Amino acid sequence: MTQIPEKTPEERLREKLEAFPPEFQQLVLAHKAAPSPATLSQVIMGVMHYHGGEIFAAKFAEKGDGVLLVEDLGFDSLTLVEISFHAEEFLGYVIQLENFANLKTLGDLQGFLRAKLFPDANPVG
Amino acid sequence: MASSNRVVISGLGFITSIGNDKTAVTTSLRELRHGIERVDFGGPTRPIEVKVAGTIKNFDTSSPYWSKWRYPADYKFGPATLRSLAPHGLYATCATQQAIADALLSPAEVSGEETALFCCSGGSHSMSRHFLNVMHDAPDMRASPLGVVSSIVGTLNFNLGTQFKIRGGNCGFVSACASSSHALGYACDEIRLGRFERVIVVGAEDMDADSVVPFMSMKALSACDDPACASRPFDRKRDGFVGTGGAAVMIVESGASAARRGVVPYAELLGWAQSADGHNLAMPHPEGDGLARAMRRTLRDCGLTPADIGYITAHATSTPQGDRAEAIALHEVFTKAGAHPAVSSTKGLTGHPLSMSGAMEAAFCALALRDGFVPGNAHLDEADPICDGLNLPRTTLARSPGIVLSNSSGFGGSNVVLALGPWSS
Repeated sequence: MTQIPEKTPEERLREKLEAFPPEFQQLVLAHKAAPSPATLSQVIMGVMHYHGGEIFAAKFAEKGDGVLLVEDLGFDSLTLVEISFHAEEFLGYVIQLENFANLKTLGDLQGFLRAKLFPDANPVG
Repeated sequence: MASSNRVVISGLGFITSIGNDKTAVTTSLRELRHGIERVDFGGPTRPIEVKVAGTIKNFDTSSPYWSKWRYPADYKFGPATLRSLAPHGLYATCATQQAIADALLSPAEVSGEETALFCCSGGSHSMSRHFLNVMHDAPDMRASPLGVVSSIVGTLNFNLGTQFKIRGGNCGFVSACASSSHALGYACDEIRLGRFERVIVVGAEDMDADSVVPFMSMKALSACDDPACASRPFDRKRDGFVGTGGAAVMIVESGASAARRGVVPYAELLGWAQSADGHNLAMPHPEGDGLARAMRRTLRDCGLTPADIGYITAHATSTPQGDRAEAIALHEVFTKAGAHPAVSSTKGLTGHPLSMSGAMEAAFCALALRDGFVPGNAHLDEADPICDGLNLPRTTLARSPGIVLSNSSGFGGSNVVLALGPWSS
């Protein structure tokens, strides 16, 4: 039986990024190379734009970090699973689904991941 | 029969190889403009024998990622709609929007308890392939959480039922190329019985290498590389069908329901019947036994005789065996009775869209009944001698089709025949 060569983590990451715009792909690669709270925040915003589209843009303009993931954006459990996968693939952190019970807003999500990934950084705002 | 239980066609939607709305489709049918183009399913290193298909214009769904798809700007979809669709789900969403608008249905009526959704497709092989490749390639066998609902048979029901907030009923039909004719038949029965006021009937299929090329190994596809004649139902030189996909949507409802909204129906769905060959996995009965029985049963269901039929839209896909069996069945029911209705197969224009063919062709008949024309047989140069005595117009006829039969046959010997007539209040 022919052995199919296993893909490298970099190859897998590039495949996961294929669905996203080129600028977001560059952002994730830059964050992977030199993680920072600023690039973390930008990656989260990119993921929100991907899943929320124009609704996210409009709600964010209106409510900023207070935009509600379920009520405002209509995210269902499958979307939350996808966001959890993206967090793992792009940021290297696994969000357990039960965590989402306490992550009501974009600000909650930003703060949660910032606290997990950059515990020593100053809180935003 | 009480008028409230008369069944009518009140709305149509199309994403097909010959047009992406009813106006374009009508023009193509009248002028016999085909939608078949050269394709390169095998790529440069694999020059496979299938070189043409009925392509869907102005859509690019070649990526497995919805975020890369392109579609006409008239349609506005966000990630919440697109994320769980297969390519044919996108076509079906567009065509359903058209049909709902065409029938002047409000969102409240669409999501009311009296509206059901019947869908037919073979699922999405390309989405399944992508999803399963990713899954098997991942160290933890993890893939998109939307992989199942975007690919398996039923994906149309999951997605359209959610998008349009369907609450009356939501189910699918699986009888291969007879599927959406079965859906129309059972929709007719549900409305006759007063169980629903209306049913949205959807037939849709992907159009890509994964949906078409598997039929090559069955020797079912044409090897002709000329788009202008590869699909030639009933022709002596036919050598297989030409694959296509897209979506066709019909709003089927009670005449009383349409009248309350002031909608003038395209046509009346007079009745239907089915039969089964009990003969072979993929081949029709060689004498068209099952199809002849389905046509007779449909005539009986509607109280009609062979002489009452003005036009038959044949299932004929351009395969040697299938067209031959249908021709024999037509002789058995009509020629032997001294009746000579016009017979044509619009698959010469479109190619064969598998499970959506019944809905697509019944919808074509609805257009023909409204506008008063009979589509001719495109690409029919020299008819197979088995067709001697059949009335096979080469060009579109500028006359009302009268009462129409729409034939469908599927793998395993499923046969469905629908009868449609001009609407008269």
